[in-house]
Amino acid sequence: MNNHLPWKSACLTAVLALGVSAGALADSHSADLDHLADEVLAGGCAGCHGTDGALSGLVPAIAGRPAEELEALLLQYKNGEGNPTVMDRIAGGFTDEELTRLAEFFANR
Amino acid sequence: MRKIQFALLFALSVLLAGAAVADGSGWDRHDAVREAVGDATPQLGQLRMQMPSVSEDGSAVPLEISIDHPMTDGDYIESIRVFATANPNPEVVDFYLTPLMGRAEVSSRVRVNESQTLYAVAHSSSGDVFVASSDVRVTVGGCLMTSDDDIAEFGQPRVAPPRNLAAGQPGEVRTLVTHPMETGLREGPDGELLPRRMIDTLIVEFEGDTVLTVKMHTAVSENPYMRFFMAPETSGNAVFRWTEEESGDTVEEQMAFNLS
Amino acid sequence: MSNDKKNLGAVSRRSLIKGLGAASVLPMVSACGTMTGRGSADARVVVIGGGFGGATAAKYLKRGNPNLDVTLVEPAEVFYTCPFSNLYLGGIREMNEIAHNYDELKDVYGVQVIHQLAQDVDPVAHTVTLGDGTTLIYDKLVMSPGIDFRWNEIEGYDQAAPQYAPHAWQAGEQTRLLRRQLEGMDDGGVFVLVAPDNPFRCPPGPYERASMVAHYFSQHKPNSKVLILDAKDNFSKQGLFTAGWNEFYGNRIEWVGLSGDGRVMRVDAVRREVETEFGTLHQADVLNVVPPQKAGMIAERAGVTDDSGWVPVNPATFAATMADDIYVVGDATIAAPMPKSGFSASSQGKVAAAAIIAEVAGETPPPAYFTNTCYSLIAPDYGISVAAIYKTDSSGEVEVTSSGLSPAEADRSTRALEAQYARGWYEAIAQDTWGTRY
Ligand SMILES: Cc1cc2nc3c(=O)[nH]c(=O)nc-3n(C[C@H](O)[C@H](O)[C@H](O)COP(=O)(O)OP(=O)(O)OC[C@H]3O[C@@H](n4cnc5c(N)ncnc54)[C@H](O)[C@@H]3O)c2cc1C
Repeated sequence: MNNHLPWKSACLTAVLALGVSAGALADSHSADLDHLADEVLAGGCAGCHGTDGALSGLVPAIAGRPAEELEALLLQYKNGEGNPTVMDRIAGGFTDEELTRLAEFFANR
Repeated sequence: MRKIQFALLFALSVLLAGAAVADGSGWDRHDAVREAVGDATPQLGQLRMQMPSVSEDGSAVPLEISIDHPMTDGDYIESIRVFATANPNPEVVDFYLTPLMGRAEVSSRVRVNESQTLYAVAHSSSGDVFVASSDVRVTVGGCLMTSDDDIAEFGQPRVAPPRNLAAGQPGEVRTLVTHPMETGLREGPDGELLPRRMIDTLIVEFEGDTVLTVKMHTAVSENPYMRFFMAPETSGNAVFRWTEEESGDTVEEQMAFNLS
Repeated sequence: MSNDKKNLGAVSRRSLIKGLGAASVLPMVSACGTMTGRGSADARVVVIGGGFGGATAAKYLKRGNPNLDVTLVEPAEVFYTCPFSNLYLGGIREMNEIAHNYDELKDVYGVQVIHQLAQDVDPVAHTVTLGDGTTLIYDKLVMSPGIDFRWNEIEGYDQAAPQYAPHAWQAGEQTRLLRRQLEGMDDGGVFVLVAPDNPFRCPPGPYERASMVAHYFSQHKPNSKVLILDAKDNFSKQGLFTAGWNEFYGNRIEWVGLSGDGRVMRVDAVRREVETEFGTLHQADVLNVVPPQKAGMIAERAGVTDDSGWVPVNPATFAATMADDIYVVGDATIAAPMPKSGFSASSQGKVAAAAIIAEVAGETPPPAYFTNTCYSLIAPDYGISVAAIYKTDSSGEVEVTSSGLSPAEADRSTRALEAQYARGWYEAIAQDTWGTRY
């Protein structure tokens, strides 16, 4: 979004001025920004596996399973193996590195 | 207050996005459009060209072109030509109009291969030239993938006559004929190019006089659809004739128009 | 943006404002109308719409940063999903099995839920006015208002028409009405479904509905038929649907596309009669019209729709391109190649939530990923799907990194497995969105 409207820039400047004048204040993030990228990468999985991949229902849960196991499964699906139904089309949308990150993300839930 | 805000927001967003207002400007950057305009200096902003700004199916994008202009023997719009500058062949469809139409407004469904600006060029019998344009973004919607491809045969002409016809008053006519409109540019399942097979023209006559001639190019969608107006002064017979390129085969539909 | 990040260094904007205390901050920033009444929260986020996109965004905002003040505005206390409402029409699911409430969002995540209709948005003052006159102030606004209908675009299909010829394209009373009409219909009748041109909510939806109604007929009204009158020549998963129809319903389902004179121009809802483009009249015993659509009304009020009637967005964050600090997700947006589906809306809600969390903390939003899987049931144990993964590339445009349909040739056990996964999908997305557990 590059269309900053004039009134918005005024707002930004106000905040900016604040920032500069009070530069030494300590910070305590309440947002867990480190995991945000992984959360977004893994966001779609919850659509069938529940929040954090932890729902155990008609679709198997993936949370807490060993990362190596999940990674091997995902790579297998990506290659169209293991009777994937929809998972070949899902896994095929990610690079191998992204699949590794996904496997680690869910292993740690 | 609200109105002002909206006007402001709109003006700003147009300005800031650097969006081209689709009024026909930029026409002179395209050979085919320049050629159609000829030597005249075209007027922008009068001819209207309506297409959806986003299309999820580039194989049949609705197109409507109109202009408020007399349609009398002395002064009428005699042609409207449409160009898709980023298609493999920029010519889309040409309409040759007559005063018997009563209103300069035509519609069709066309193929738009990728996001681009389309142009329309209209000439009047008195030598005026009008240009309009329309920006279309083509993105195939995600659930739209189909796996089915029936080949349409040439036939099944359909004509919807005007609902109420009063002498000299323009009434809306819709036409459709089934035809594959195979461009000769497309591969079949075996990887070979499918042979070109196109409709060349639709000619509409009323009591022996030509009302409208439509020249179709590869960008006219399968099963060509044309919508236009007719303003007969008397009751009489209308003939709609589609002619295939190469074979010269024709399909014809006749219809009695009765004034109310 | 990059400038202000540099100046702030490691210190987030939020903590500065908190540290300075409201009193000293207010005079300076109230001109922006953005921070009044924020209290100790990092930012005030208002979410309009508690459907797939909005409820998901509210939950993931709170999950990602519990210190956000999140208010969800949604008129209904019970939300009925369109997904699986076709199964209700088919007689294989009940309404209470597609009903969801906001208890988990309130009790577990601390979202404030206000059951009101948002009447107006002032994008300059950063305020939302509710039906009861209350004004909410936001720093960031998320809207997921779904669709509204273009009344009278099909002549005669106006606001009064759905009580005779339901659309049932927003689930609830309309869905119940359609089922009552199907149940009340004599055997040997014709169910006519009028399907719109693209773009519209749930591209495979009309064809799943036709399947489920045909299933109901096969159980209860064996001499009845389904006629689909379509304003387009191709539809979602067409080959798979057609094959499934042939297998289960023979000639009980007839589909007439645009080139076969399927486009309906006029409707007489009371007499259940429709007229097509080339003048064919069809008499229905039950008439279901899915009208042309546009973004939910509030998007237009906020001034974020363009002349298409939908909302253009920056796909990397789902920020509306026509106003700052407003994020729009779900059916209301121009998000193609993503379809207007509940799954897409949920995925977009998560991306918008992450973008807001990052921006409030003065960080750059993470790269966006979206998933969509649309299951459709042709028969209770016969499912098909279309699935895709989307990413934003370096230029911020959406790129499809994988997509595909269920295979054309598959045995019954695969179709049965997909039907089971369809139910699994519903179970999971209901849990992920509203916390509903069956
Ligand atoms: C028959 C059918 C079957 C479907 N099947 C599937 C499927 O199997 N899978 C799938 O993924 N998708 C499916 N869909 C599509 C899915 O229903 C939509 O894509 C999804 O609901 C979009 O989510 P949303 O958040 O944009 O809108 P919605 O879910 O409609 O939510 C919008 C909410 O906003 C509220 N709202 C609107 N205006 C205001 C206002 N001014 N103030 C406050 N609140 C407001 C409404 O009350 C509503 O609760 C189906 C749709 C239909 C019709």
